Amino acid sequence: MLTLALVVVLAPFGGFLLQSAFGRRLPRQGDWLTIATIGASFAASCALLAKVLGGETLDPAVVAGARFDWLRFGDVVWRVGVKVDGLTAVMLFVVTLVAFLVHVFSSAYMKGDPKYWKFFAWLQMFSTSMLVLVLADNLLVLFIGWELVGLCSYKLIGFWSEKAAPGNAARKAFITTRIGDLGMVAALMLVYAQTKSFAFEDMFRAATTGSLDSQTCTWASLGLLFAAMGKSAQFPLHVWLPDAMEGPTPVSALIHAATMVAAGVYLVGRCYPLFTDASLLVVAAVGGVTAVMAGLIALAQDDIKKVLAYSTVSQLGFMFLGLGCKAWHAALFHLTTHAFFKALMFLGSGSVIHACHHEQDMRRMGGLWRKMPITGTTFFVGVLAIAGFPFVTAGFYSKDAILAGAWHMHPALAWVGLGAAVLTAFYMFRLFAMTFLGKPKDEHVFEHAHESPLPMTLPLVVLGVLSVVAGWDLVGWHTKLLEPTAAAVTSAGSVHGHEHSEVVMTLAIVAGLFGLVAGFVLFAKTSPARVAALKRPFAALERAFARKFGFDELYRELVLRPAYTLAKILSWADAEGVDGAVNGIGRTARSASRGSGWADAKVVDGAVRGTGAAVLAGGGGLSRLQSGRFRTYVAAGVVVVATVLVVLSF
Amino acid sequence: MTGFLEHIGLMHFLTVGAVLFCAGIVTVLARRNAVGVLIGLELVLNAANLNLVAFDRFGPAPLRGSVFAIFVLAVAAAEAAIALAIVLNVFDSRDEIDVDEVSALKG
Amino acid sequence: MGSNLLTLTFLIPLAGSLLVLLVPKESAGRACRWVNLLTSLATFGATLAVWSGWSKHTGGGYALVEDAAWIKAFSIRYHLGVDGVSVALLLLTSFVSLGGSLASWNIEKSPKGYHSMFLLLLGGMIGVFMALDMFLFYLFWEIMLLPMYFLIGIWGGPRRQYAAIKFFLYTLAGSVLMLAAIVLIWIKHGTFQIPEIVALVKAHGGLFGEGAEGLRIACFIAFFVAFAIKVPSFPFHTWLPDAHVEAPTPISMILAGVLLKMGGYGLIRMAYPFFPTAAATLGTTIVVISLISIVYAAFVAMAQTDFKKLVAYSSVSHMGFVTLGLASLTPEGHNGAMYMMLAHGTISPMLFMIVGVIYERAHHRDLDRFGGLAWAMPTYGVLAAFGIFASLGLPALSGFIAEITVFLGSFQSFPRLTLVATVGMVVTAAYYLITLQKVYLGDTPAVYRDKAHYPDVSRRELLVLVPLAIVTLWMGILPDGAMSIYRGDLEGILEGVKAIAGKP
Repeated sequence: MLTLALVVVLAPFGGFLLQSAFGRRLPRQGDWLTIATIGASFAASCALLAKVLGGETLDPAVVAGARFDWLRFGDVVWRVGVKVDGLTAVMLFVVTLVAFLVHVFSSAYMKGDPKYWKFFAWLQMFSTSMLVLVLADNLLVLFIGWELVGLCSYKLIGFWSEKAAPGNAARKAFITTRIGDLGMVAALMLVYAQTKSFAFEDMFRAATTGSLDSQTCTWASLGLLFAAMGKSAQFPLHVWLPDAMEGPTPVSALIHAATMVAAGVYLVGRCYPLFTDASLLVVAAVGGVTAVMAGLIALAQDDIKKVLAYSTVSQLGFMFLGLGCKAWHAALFHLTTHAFFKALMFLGSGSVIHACHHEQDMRRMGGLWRKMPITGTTFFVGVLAIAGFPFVTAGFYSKDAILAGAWHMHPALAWVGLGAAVLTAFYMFRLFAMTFLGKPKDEHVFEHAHESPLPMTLPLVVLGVLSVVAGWDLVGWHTKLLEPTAAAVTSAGSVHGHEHSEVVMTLAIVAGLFGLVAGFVLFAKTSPARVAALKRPFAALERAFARKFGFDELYRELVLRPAYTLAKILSWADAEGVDGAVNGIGRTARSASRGSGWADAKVVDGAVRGTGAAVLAGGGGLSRLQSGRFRTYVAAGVVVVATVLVVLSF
Repeated sequence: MTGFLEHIGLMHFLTVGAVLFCAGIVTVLARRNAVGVLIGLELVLNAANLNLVAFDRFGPAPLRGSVFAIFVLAVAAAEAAIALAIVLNVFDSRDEIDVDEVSALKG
Repeated sequence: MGSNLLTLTFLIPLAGSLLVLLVPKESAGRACRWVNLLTSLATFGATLAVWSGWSKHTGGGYALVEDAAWIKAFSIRYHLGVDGVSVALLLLTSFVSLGGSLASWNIEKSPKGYHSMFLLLLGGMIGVFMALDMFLFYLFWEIMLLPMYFLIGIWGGPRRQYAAIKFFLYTLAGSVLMLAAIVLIWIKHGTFQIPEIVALVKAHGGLFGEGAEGLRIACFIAFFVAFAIKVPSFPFHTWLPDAHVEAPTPISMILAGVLLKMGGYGLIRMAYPFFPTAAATLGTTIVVISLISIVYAAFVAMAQTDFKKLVAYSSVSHMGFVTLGLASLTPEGHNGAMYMMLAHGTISPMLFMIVGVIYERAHHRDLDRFGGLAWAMPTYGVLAAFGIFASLGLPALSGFIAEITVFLGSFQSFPRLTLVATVGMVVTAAYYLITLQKVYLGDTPAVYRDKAHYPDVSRRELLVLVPLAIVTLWMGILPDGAMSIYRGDLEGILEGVKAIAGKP
């Protein structure tokens, strides 16, 4: 089992090394190589999943034996190792599966790009880092994986950074998540200062036995939450994710929908025993606010990828809401189903963008279902899943479980969640209608549109199937994988996914259907002119949504500009103040010497000068002796001194 | 290995000092390179130091000579700093440090 | 006393320095650089031998000791020896100098003088790290000062004189303070021997006897300021940006890679073990100074337009971690501080070389005039990104280990202040990524597309950069390898300090 876990990580890492060294020179620029390595990784995680399903657990002795003494300080040893439980197995499966499909998809989507080989190399590195993050048995290694996925995200968002926009977006993503990472560092320091260990086991034992007091736990968990908010693009650190859509679409599907952004949810889920009631309330509030806010912004976006990005932010908000309401199982369940249907829709949008020659504006699409039946159909499945179409789709079950949990803990937040669910169904149908239904709005784009090749449609079909079946308890992945883990990490009071109340379920069904129907009526059945007329009273609101509530401007004025100004002021202070003081001392010393030089010249020398004038005439003759040559003078001096000495000694 | 040191007397020190002094003077006179001249100068100063320290060691009033020697060291350091700065300046403005060529003070 | 390995190690570069002077003028350029390279290689080999000799030594304390009477009247001894801390820094010194010697290949202005000075500098630096007699230490410290002064003052950029004199005066001021403290200790205790003084501290609970706490604090401050100037800590840092901007590339590499480490070394070897109580008393002050260095210098770096000045300020910011870690008086903090010295000692030479590569081609370092170099010079772009990410503390590279261990250590002693210091991480990421984007990403201006004037890194430049990168990676993935060299001795020193200081 340990070997399998190592294969999962090392296969893509080897792929990264080989691909970055030889990729350019291999046939087809090495895409087959990377698909093979990620395929191997996927196979290994399937085997691992099967073993965990079969009830096998890692023998504690083996785990302990496989730990590696990484560093030592005094008598503290930092050990690193792997942790495999139900949650890990599920995450590994999801990550490797989506990564594999995205690799396959990219082999067609990225065809002809001058840096084709590099793209695959970075996909491999990303997969490696993400798997390190998932398999880590301690917070420090998790943090290492966490930062490395950030690096890969930076590299891949900025994959086309010959242009300015991707470069800016990549930088924004890295720095924003790094602000969140301060929380992680703070949490690491807090926990380490008291337990002298990063291992999850030790941390949780300390938290449950009370050797980590609850105040420390609260602060540490809030730190972790802050880090998760950065990575998972939660309010108010959500601003980077929509910009990150500048990256190639497969990257958006893999990193910014299915895996990396879900790492925040994973982190909170993994470190759940550290969270106290106080910090869980913050988690829930952050999730609820984000879910609604992102949903509102998504209403007014016209770029197909931007809508999906805000939808991701909103869905991640749902997961945080679930976690905050002690619906641990529901949140992680939603993580997996969301990974499938959101990856599906991103890849679907990639297929559309590919077909429309890199047109992303939905206002120039329309009627594409006819031209792209597979993409259209699978996309529709995705829309139904995210809208929570009752009883069939996976999204319904997971969202319902979260809402049930919220209903149980904080009914007010459940209503917020329901509102967000209506919004989700509504804007997703808007997206679908604008892209695939109705009449083509731009004949030129429509003419060029065509169904994508097999490497692109195949992943869509696989994900489409998973978006439906993932909701059913197929091979027992709820009962055997998530629930035991949930029971392990959440002590008493956890709300299980299956305890939903009828009321919540009815409300959830109504919310989803209402959103879908409203979207259908408004965007498929009503004429655009009438929609425009209907929208007119809400023009101010729509502007606010379209401008994303002004967060970008707010940060520019409140954070970026002050930071730059501070930098300029400090730089000036350094040159003029600190260094100026040093130069000042030098200058004072020099003017002091000049002053005494002046006194010397005027006063002392004045007296002398009178005499000097008289001597001057005679001196004129003697001045010939002044050769200006240094050595002559010295020689003269030596001769005189020697002569005097000789004379005196007699 | 320290035994023979006991037999060294004042005269030995003074002889070494004299030799150093002469070497220094010759260097100052013979070198045309300004840095060389400075090195010679340091030799001269250190010859003087050696005498001071020697007299201190063998003379009647301990420490006095050493204090002088420390003063000489400090002054020598300051002198070296200034002289080197001058040399740098000369080198920068004239691209050479041959003291014979630097004769702007010629009467 | 057995072997004379240590004497040999610092004599090799000095001999090389003389040998360079003997090279006839006509073939000076080519011959000198070969002499320099071979001497640096031999020195590197010698430090490896020192390493192996040290690792065979058992029983703690100093290895390969050479101790002979020198100036009896003042009880000054010729006393050399190494422990793990010195060995780690000796390896760093000779390794970085090897890179520096390769980077000096194209020096055209009076090569004889340059290479001779270079080797003299190397000899001085090596001497500093193995002297166990404070007078000898002081001597090597000053020997090193002179060649540095000339290397900046003659082979530097347009404002070289200003920079060189500033460097000289700053360091001299520090030296005077250090000398005063050394002489004071000698007057009171009659010894210059570092091990003897440490033993005295251990035996009597501090130097200068009972009730001399004021004197101890004054002496500690003298040592601290002397070494803080070298580190350099705010507010003694202003010589560094000027010196770096004017110094030629290889000298910048050595300045950042080795010279700054002498400050940290002095703190570890002398300031802390000699005056533990004073160090504990002034702990908060030192942390505040480090904090200002870290955050303030990062902000100042953000406002720079000169690439080299930016890297120089980032050095100030990173070296703040060294004093922060030392002030914490925890095993993590001390080990992390030392690790930061090694990590910064390899990463910053790499960055200075990266700046040097482009300066040699473009003859300017204005960040706003670059763009898209990663496309014009692909290998160079990869190495530059590597260096930049290493410096901003990306995990799996050495800077991360250093930063996180220092943070974890200092948090145990100074939680609130350490939290403030973490802000430096974000600012560092910000200015480095802005730089990365300005210089390497985006559209490539037509000038830089000219392959004839902007060739990708040459084989020689790769030979400088790649070993540094490999060490950075190795130190980031398996940090215990480098840390185990010095950990035992460093923790021993820390134990001694804590035993007297009592807290924390």
